[in-house]
Formats: sequence, C-alpha cells, structure tokens
Amino acid sequence: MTGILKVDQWKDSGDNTLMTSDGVGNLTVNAPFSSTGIDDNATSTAITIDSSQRVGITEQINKTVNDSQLIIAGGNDSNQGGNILLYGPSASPANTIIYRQGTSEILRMDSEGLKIGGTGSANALDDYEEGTWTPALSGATTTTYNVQTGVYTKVGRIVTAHFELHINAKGNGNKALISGLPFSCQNQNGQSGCLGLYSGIAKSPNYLTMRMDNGSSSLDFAGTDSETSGLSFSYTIFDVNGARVIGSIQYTTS
Amino acid sequence: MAITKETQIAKIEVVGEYKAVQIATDTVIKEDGVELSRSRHRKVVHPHQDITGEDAEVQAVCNAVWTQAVKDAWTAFQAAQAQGL
Repeated sequence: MTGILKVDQWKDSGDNTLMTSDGVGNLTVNAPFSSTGIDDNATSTAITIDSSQRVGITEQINKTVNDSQLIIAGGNDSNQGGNILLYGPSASPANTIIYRQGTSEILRMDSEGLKIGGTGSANALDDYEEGTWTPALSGATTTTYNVQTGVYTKVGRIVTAHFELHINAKGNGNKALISGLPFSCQNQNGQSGCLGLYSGIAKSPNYLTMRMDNGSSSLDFAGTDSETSGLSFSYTIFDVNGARVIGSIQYTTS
Repeated sequence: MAITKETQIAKIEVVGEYKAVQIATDTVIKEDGVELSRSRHRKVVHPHQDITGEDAEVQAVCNAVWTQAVKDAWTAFQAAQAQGL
C-alpha cells in the first residue's frame, strides 16, 4: 500500500502519538527524505553527519580533509569565533579528558591541570601567566627613573622575570636591593640570576651578582670593590644619576 | 563609541610560611562595555611593608594573616638571612 500520510490537526493536545500498523511503532520512510534535523543531507548544519559516518558539530565537514572524523567548532563556520566547552565525565577517572594515539596516552586534562608524560601530580602543568611588574630600588622613595620596566612569564612554578632600570635622578636609596618581583621566591636555597648590563653605578665593582632569598620578592646584589671584600654591599650601588641595570632571574614559587 | 579603562584585582594569594601576599591586578580596556584587551600586573607585599596605599581588599587579607607572630617570624627570618651572607 502506498500513499501520503498527512496529519493536519491532532485530535487534542494529549493525542499526539502516531501509531503504525505493524503494532510495534516503527515508522519507515522509503521515499527521499528531507529534514532540518540530523542526517546526511540536512539543510541545517548545527550537527551534520556525512555518508562516511563523519560528524561535524557546528562546523560542516570539510570534504577536502579525508581524515576528519569529528569536527567541533565554536561558530557556524570556520571563520567565526565562539567558545567550546568540554566537560569530562563524572565516572572514573572523574572530570578527565584524555587524548590517546592508539592505546598510548599522550595527554590528559584533569583537576590538577594538563598532564604530559605521565598521569601523576608531578606531570601536571597547572598554571601559565604572563604580565608586568614594576622594579624599584628598595627604600628609594624619592628616586626618579627614565626607564622602570619589568615583565614576567610563569610556567607551572617557574617564574622568569626580566627588568630594566635607568635612574633619572638619585634619591634616598640605601641598599643594593631591587624590589617588586611578581611572585615570592619559594625555594629553601634561594635563587640566583644574571645581569645582562650595568653601567654608571657606584664605585665600579669588580663583579656583580644577584640572588633572591627564600620567601622574598627582592633581588639582593653582591660583589667586591675597593671598599667591600664581603658579599653584600653596605651602600646603594644603583641610586646614582644615570645608572642603568638590565637583568633577569628565573626562580621557583609556590 | 566609548573606550574605557579599568583596573580589577584578579587574585590575592597568601603564600609561604611568612604569609607573603601576592596581588594580581588586571587592566581591562573596553569598547562600549565589550572587553578589547586585558593585561596583568603583579606585586608582592610582605609583613614588614606599609600597606596603607593598597586596595581595601588587600589590606583586609594582609591584616587577617599578618599576625604579630607572623611579623616577628618574618623579621627574625630576614635578620637570619642577612647574617648568612
């Protein structure tokens, strides 16, 4: 038996079930089918499936990329932005997204961060941040600067900080300290850094080194000169008209 | 079209035995209320420092964690570090 089944009006709001004659409830469509839902020739593209069982979510399947199995995009085409949220399952391992190649796990994301090379806490990258900080001669409240810049990048617990100070007019600096580091040092043995350039500073030391003590956010400078044979300067070496210092340090924080 | 610039305290973190307070401040540029850019600036304050110029929220955190015992421990620690040079 062939023909067209057309339903113009339900009998009432509760009578909205279409029963078929086989008594099971299956409805088979033999004729060409067109819909705005999910199939291989749908007119909407929010979700698409092609004849090779490839699935696109908010992105039509790129026919030129033969190995595309699943495409998820944050807009309705590749030129539009948008957000994609992925939620891990609640089952074990809970809230975890894992990427595997074959049976080998390449990376996972879980509550401890992004894990590469293993699944333990030691493999978790849990923070990345970049920004600026303001280096200053510690205690020098009246010193003015031509250049006073600092930038940092934090990857996990490692902070890399660069700085440049160019003194315009000396003030009341009383120590060989540069303060203002973006994170406190959390290494029992402290850290040391390197100076790329210094010029115009006081008393021309034979050498100049810097370190950052555990718990601090300042750089302490040391060296030797004609008056100092120890490791620490008892006077300010940078608070001098025109003095310039450029350096960097890499240290551990929490 | 209105371009605005505002600063927001993004994070206040208390770290370490001596309760260093790490402050992250974001500078946000907006056009008609829509965020165009965001940059971060950081600093750290320690128990011996004057915090009267800090944001009230920062002051509240500092005053909560910088007990006299913490301040004394930090002072002693700094003195010990200086002697170890």
